Amino acid sequence: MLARFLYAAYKRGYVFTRWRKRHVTPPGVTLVAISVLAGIFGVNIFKTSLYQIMAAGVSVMAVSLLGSVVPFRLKVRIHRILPDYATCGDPVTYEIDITNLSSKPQKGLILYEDIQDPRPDFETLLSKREPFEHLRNAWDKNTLYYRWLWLLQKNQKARFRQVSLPDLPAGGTTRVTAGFIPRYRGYVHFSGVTFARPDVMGLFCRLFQIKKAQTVLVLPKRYLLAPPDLLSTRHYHPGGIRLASSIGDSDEFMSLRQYRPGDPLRNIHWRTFAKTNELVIKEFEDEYFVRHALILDTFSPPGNERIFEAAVSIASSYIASLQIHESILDLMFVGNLSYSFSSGRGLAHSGKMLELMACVEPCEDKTIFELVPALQASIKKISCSICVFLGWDAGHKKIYQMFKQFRVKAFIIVVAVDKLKMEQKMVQELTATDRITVVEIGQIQETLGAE
Amino acid sequence: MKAPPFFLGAILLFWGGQMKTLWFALIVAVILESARLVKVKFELTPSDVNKFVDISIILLAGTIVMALTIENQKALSILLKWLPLIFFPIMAVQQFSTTGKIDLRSFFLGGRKKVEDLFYEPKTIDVSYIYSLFCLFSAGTAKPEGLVFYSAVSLFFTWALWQVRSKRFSCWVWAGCILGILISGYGVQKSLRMAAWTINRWMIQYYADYYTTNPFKTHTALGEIGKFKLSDKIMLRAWSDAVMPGETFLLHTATYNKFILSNWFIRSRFESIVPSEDFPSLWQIHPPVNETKKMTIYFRQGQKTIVLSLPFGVISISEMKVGQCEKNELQVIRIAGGPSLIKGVVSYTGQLTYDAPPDDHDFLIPKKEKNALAAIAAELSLENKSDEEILTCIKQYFLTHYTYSLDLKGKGEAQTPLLNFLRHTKAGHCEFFATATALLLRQVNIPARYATGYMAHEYSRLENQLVVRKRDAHAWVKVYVDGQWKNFDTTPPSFIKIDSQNIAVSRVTDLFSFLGFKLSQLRHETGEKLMNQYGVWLIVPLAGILFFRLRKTNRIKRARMPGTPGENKKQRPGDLSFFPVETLLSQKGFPRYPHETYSAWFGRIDPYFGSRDIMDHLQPVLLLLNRHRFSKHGLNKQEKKKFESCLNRLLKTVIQDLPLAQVDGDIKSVI
Repeated sequence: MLARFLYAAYKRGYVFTRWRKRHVTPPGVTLVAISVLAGIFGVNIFKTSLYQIMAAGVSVMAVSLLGSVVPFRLKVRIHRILPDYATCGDPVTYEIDITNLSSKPQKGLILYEDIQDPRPDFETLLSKREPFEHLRNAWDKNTLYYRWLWLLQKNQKARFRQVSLPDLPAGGTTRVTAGFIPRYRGYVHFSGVTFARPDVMGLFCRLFQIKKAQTVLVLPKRYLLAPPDLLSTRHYHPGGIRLASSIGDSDEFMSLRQYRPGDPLRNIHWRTFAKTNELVIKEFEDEYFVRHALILDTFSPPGNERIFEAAVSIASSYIASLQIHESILDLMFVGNLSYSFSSGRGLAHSGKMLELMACVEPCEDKTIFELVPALQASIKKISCSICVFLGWDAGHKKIYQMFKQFRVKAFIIVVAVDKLKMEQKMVQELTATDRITVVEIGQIQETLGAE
Repeated sequence: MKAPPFFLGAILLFWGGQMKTLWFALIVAVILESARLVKVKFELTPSDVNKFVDISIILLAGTIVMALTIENQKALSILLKWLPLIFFPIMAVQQFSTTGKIDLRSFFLGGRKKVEDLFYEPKTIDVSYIYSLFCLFSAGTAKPEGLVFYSAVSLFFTWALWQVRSKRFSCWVWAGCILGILISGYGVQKSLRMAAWTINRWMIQYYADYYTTNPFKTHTALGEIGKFKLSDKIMLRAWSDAVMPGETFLLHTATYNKFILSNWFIRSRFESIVPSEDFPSLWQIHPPVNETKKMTIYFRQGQKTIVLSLPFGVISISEMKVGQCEKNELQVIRIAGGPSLIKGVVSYTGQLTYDAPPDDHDFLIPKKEKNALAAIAAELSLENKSDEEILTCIKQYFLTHYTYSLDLKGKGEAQTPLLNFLRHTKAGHCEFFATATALLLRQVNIPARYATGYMAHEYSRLENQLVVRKRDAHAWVKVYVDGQWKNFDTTPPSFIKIDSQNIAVSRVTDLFSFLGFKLSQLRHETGEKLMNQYGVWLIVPLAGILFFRLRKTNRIKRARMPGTPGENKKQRPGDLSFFPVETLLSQKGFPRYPHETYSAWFGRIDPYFGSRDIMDHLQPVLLLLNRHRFSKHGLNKQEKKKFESCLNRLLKTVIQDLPLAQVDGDIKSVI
């Protein structure tokens, strides 16, 4: 009951704050505050002169409000020149072409970008956990205010600033630079723009909205990571054209070499044998393509958002840094279903993988065991694997054992809030940590970064 | 939003002018405005900024405490007055920091939590306009004088609004709007003032005509004192040479002259008493007379305005530090403003000389009670008696036919509580006796008024003064006989005993009350007196403490004039010194470096002694010296003697015989 009431209050509060921010400029807010305070403290006019401040403030507000009620209409066409992608944390600048279609120049306007309503629904507010909620006091936890703020920021994806427009000449097109700072990965949905016209005092504004829907995908934050020592050779792996665009050994002759037991007899260079009486083998270019797997653990309970985001960032960094035109990368993770995507060698490019990473969501109702069948099906094709885990429990151990069993080299990364505690836990569970790297949040570049 | 250049300075100067602290404001203004010229800025961390904010918060808290201590009523204005100085550290840190802004989280202790750092981006604000606002508010607390303040407000508003004006409109349009704003603002402030005056007049009229509020003590209901009587709380303390332990003493609070619907009312206006210019705490209530008695009374001021309970015939009240004092023609004296404990040394005659002569109100009898009173008057055959006889008769009547009771029975089956008292219960407390007496006297055409106050009778041995409790509240009659007003009390004298028995006194509560009283006395009376007389001398011990603390932490060091050698330390008697050895060896060409310990020195010069076994003599002396200097127990007498003898032998026999240092033919080469 209380939560529902708070939710309703926050929703209305958001609407009011948005209205206030766009209709009242910061000097306007200051003036209102001054007038109110002067009214409170100067109520006894026989003792202080503060009521005179209130009188002046009220007069300014009255004139300003009168000026702001004058109707405001614009005839403009806008065209945003947005980049395809943005990266979380990196400021983005883009341009907007504004064509003033009227015969009257426009001066002193302010432009606000409108984005899709970021208010979360009631269920999301209840189910999600703010990353540092466990550090908050009981009041903050119970009022859900900080969780609401966090969800708002998360849904907004980016922080926009108002743009003070230059003069818009009649009939002319003006290009202005706008920008935003992406704070969360995913799609930023632009719904339109709002033009604000301040009154003569610059305190209150009249708004005019234009719809213009566009989207920008914010990719996860990426680090410059050192390439892992991945095995790039064939080791009982099937080859052939079926598994790649050209798999197996091609007919491209490379060189001759001494025969080694086990070499196919049909590749013996008989002419040399006839001349020298020594077995020499013809070598052909190897058409086998190394297949790597990138396994992302998405099984994150509520409140584990930071670990999950760090894991996504690590996975994205590897996707971006691996030379996947030389190999095939299978990306495996679980959302509502178990997903497996392949890229490289003409199948797809890394950009697509990053798009997937931009939209991947934590899976809160399943365990990593969901991934085991998919992994079993494809493990024989994999040369080497990078696993990004969010913890270390039975499921993770099973995958680790599976790699050992099939002699697939695995580079396992465990993301943890406290590296020391995680390592101690692994030691207690007698896990051989020689191929496991524990990465602390905030220390990703330092731990895995390229030197 | 950053304030425009010189805006802060101008507003600070205005504040200084209004507060009569122009020089002080000038210094602050110069400091803040100099930040624009000074190119050196400080790179401050958030924790550094937090410290400056903390200083301001401490100053704010200190000012609040001080303001409340000095004068409760003016605490807000005192606080507002010093706002620019309180928040000066924050403003200064913004002006001289490289960021030029203050992190909003610094203002909230909760915002400084680590969680905020981890997750949320810092929000910074420019506090220059807020600071300007504080200056303007502070200046506004000064006494209003003409249009000075409004002119200044107009100027600063125009200045600030010019910065944020919309570029959409021309300057002329903006100027026209500003002109309109200033004119309308003037109209608004004038209207507000007129409205306030109108409301004020209306309020005065309302209170004067309809007697509604208790703080002005313009009416009292039957039963009010009865409720008072149920508490043992100490209301006031009094001390006088004229009052002896065991005596009773009436303290008059208010007099009423009109009885309507079980309520006593007063129809009288209060007039202000102007304190003496030379002695602002002396309030001359009536012209001085020759023979007066004195009584010192301490009141607790719980409300803004209180009515004083005083002896009769007050001439003057001295040592009373209050903001306002008023009296009415029925000798009700009320005060406003002042500390929580108010002292007053009252000079009084003890006579009802100054009460206004009787008028029509003093003869009024309500219709409902008229018949009952007429019946009693007839029963007592009062009509044919003299005034004195009537008084005696009435007193005797109430003493014999009525009993004292604290049980409030209300009106019962009668029309009014008074009728119930007169006809049925024949028992009640002082209010009923006084009311019935007053009305009975009026029935026989003797002017009478209803008076309330306290019957002081309890002499506290703990406090060595009279203590007056709530239960001592009392009502009696002022009767006009033989051309003068007299007190006439028909309540059975046993009421003091009955009250004392019924309302028990808690000694523990009394003790705490006394401690509270003493603390207040210390704070408001003794403390102030001490501060006035000896406040300056407080600087001496405080400066001493500061000096010793600085000295202890080695923050005070004696500066040596350049080029002058340091004085030799005087050897204390009984102290052991290696200085003669050092001097002699130095003369021989083996000086010690200032940074060198004796051991290191001996180690360095030992090779130059060749076969001489000087070190064998030096080492034991040095050992003893070190024990003397560093050992917890030092040397005993014998060891000291041994040290002296060894030292003498060393000096006279060994070192004396040493030739001058002949290393490489130069003494300096040894050094």
